[in-house]
Amino acid sequence: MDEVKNINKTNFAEEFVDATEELVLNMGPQHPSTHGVLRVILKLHHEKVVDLDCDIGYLHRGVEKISETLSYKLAAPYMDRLDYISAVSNNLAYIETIEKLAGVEVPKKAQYIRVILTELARISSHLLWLATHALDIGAMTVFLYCFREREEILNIFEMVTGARLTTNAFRIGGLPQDVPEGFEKAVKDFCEILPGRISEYEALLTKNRIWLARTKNVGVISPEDAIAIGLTGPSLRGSGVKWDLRKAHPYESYNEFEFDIPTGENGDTYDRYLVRLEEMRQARRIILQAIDGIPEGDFTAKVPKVLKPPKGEVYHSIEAPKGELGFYVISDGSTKPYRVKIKGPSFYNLQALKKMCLGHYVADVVAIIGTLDIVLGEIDR
Amino acid sequence: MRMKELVSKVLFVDLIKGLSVTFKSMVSHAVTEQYPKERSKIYERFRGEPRMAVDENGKTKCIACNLCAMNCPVGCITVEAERDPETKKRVLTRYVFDMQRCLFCGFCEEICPVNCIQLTTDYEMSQYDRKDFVLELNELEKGMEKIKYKK
Ligand code: SF4
Ligand code: SF4
Repeated sequence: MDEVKNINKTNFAEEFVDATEELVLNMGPQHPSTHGVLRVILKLHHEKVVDLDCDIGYLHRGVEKISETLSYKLAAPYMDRLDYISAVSNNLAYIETIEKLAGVEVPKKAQYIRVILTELARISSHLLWLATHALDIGAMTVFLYCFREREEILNIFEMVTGARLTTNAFRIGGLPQDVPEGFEKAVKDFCEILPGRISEYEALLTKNRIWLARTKNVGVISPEDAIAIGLTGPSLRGSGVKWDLRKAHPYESYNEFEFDIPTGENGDTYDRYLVRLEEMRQARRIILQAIDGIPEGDFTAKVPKVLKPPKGEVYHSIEAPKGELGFYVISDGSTKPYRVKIKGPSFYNLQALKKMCLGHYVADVVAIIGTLDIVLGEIDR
Repeated sequence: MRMKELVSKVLFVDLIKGLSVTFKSMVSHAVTEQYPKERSKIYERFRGEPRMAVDENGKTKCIACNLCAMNCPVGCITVEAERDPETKKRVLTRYVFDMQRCLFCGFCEEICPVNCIQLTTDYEMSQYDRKDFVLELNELEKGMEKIKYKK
């Protein structure tokens, strides 16, 4: 009976609040906002995240191992399936690495067309990112509009490469075939409509009070942390670090084109959103320069049918839409690579999730996963 | 500046701007397709259902060189052939294409010296049974048997 007397009402309420246990919540692997199959184990205090761990590997297919069993040429289609949203960029990274290893010089014309296709892939990847990111946060309309424009890009891919997603667009030494008639017009038509469409997204989102509330000061990461974790791509540039491999280590013909590297200031979700929107405009700028300047010449270099690169190892990376995509290939002089290591940007970007989420609400985790722009196909490989 | 922001917030300028985009696309023409009735344009290079070409006598063009099988990353093509004792040429006896494993990468089509195996623009490839995806030569020549839906 003593105990009952001692209970003071206010104290009881306080005790009750304090006694709230930390709750472990499994988000995923089938959560729609995880863009694949990512399991995030959240430790929550009330609705705030106090700890977080990611469980990956659900999509592991062993691409690296498979490539060791195939000849250099035949492994290329598997690379489409890493970051299936921008398959062309993966193709480019892999093919360029092999070209570097084998010392193949690619004709200028092929280089220009490669640039056009990869920049289109960048726009398409960013469109899909914007679509799903906005959808996660609750802006349904943007999703449909972005897919409308993405459709145009996929049509161009289908016209040039023969497939919409798993493009297998390039071959060692150049392109499988010359671009078809109507390619230039299709690209130019798309470039024509793009700025208007981007301003439509901006009208829907940039000043929208709900969008601002959900993205401003959410998932902030400082430039130092971003570099330490190894963030690349727009996630790094959102924090104000001006680092872009297209400028830093130009590959293909990127040194011949004029473009700016947009950067953010605060390193929050909103800044990364602005950076990606601006990147789409810059990609359009590059495409327009390239399409007007496609040189005459061959679309492929002479490459032996059975490729046997000399013994050695090589690392080559490109600026994929999500960040630095690198391939490390070791050759033992035979027709098959000894080892292929893939450095996917999504895997490194995902490491920032914990740092960004701590102290935020559960609902913000969804926004932060979105802003990192991860693709699980690339993380698990 | 702050005043301006406040006024635009009170007057819902941001939302009205967004809604105007929505209304504009409400009155513009539709971009969707009514799929079975309307079909989107398929480009010539599209890599769809595999097909084997025949010559003018209705015989297969395939010379059983086995290049397609060797250039397939997943090994989904099987070529069986035997040597004709009279002409000393290889003659195709069996050709199997396992579509379940195919990546639709197009390497087989690219390498074929006589343009026999081709990936066509047909894209409706659904079947009820997995064994229907393993195509023999005669199926490859006239195309997969398609399921016709009745209403
Ligand atoms: S398309 Fe590619 S995966 Fe399919 S059979 Fe031809 S070579 Fe093999
Ligand atoms: S490459 Fe062409 S000709 Fe040679 S086996 Fe294959 S289908 Fe026949």
